[in-house]
Amino acid sequence: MLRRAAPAAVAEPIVHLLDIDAAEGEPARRVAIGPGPLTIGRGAQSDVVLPSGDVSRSHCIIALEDGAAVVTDLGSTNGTIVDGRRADGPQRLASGARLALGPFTLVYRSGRAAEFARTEEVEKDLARAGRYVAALLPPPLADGPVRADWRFVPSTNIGGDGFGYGWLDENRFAAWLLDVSGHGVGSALLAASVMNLLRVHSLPGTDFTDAASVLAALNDRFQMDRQGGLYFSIWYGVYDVRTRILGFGCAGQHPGFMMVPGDAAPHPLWVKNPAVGLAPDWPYRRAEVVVPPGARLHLFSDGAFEVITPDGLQLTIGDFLPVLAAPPVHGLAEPERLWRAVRNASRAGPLDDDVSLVTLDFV
Amino acid sequence: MDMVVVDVAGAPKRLGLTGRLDAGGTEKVEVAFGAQVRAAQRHVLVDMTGVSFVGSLGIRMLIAAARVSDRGGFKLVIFGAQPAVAEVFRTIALDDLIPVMPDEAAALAQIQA
Repeated sequence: MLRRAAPAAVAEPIVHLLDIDAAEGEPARRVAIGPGPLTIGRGAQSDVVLPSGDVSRSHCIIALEDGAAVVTDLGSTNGTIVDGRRADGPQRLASGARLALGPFTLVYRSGRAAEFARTEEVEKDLARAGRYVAALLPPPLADGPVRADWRFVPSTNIGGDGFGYGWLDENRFAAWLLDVSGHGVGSALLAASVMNLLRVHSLPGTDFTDAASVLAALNDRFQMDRQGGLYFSIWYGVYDVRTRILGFGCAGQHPGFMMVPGDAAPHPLWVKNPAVGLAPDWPYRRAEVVVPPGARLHLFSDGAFEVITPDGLQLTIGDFLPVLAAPPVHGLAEPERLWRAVRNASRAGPLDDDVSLVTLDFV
Repeated sequence: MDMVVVDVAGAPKRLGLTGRLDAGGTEKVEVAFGAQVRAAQRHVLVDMTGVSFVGSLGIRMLIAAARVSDRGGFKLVIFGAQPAVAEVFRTIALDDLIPVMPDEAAALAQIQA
């Protein structure tokens, strides 16, 4: 029997990439680091142009040395920040290293081309899941006794946020916001399932005008053991225009906050109940509040406040309340104002969790 | 995310967690944590004094472990949650499902009650 020598396995070359996050109106993009040095700066002669006054004309250079990427600052005014520290001299980059150049964040990645292709495929799937959830969201309401607007920013890994609102009948308006545990397509699938049920009021035997009834029905339908270990928190409320009473319930969710004209501090609307899926047959409770004319209700996911600052500080809901209480900005939709505050408070780069911000105004 | 196991005969097993119990931290410790609870065959104390953050997957890990203990006829008691973590426990009503005590002495008293 003839034996032929197997061809020598050719190792797939390592590729070096720079992912530049969207900033200053520039879209996110990916740049390959080739054998030649890559110059980065504000000036048009740079290989990578970052248009910002906080970036020097010739800011830094990245070159491959012995198979590793090395960044060198070129005496820039504001420095090249690598993983939070200013690079004083040439610095080797580990895959995943984050470079901050003015308002821009650049993430260095190295690996085999096939691995990047697989990762890109997963990222595309996640983006598709995010777009599907976004397609289920209701349009803003600019007229009527309840006005609604929102901002939804899915995270790279999809956090499982969802929300909705609408009229149950001519007098009663329902609104809700949910957050599925974990991240990824699984969380988005469960969020989409619940959103679809709530949108078309498809829980047999459930009184959708009663928050406690809705939470109990969801808890009966979505026990964690039967949902791949996933559970979700939700705030659900129903406003009656005839009585101006808002009946609401929370399941593992932080409060909604109501701003009342003349009151400086936001009023928390909260009832203590476990998240949906954690405790079978839980007797969910609800509460009521009278809604004065001109009141504004904020519903938001924990991604809006559980952010990490540029200094590495973990923020909590208490840090977000002054943002809610701050005066509106003329010409800027309230959810957009809140989103900009969240973005400004958090460290550079993509956020770890979905951010959902819903604002309801009661005429 | 780290876990320290204190296993002394005749006393509840003590599992001390340190770090952030976010998605990454939970993934790192979840299997070992669950295995320790399953193997304990007695009451379990979970020391949270070194945990600075708990996310939704961390909550799931604690609840799943408490169910394992409960099915075996034992208690799982959490103690030492930092204020921000205690606020998360309260929001999600974890303290209605699992005993959450301020310190180890109170946790031991809860087990003996």
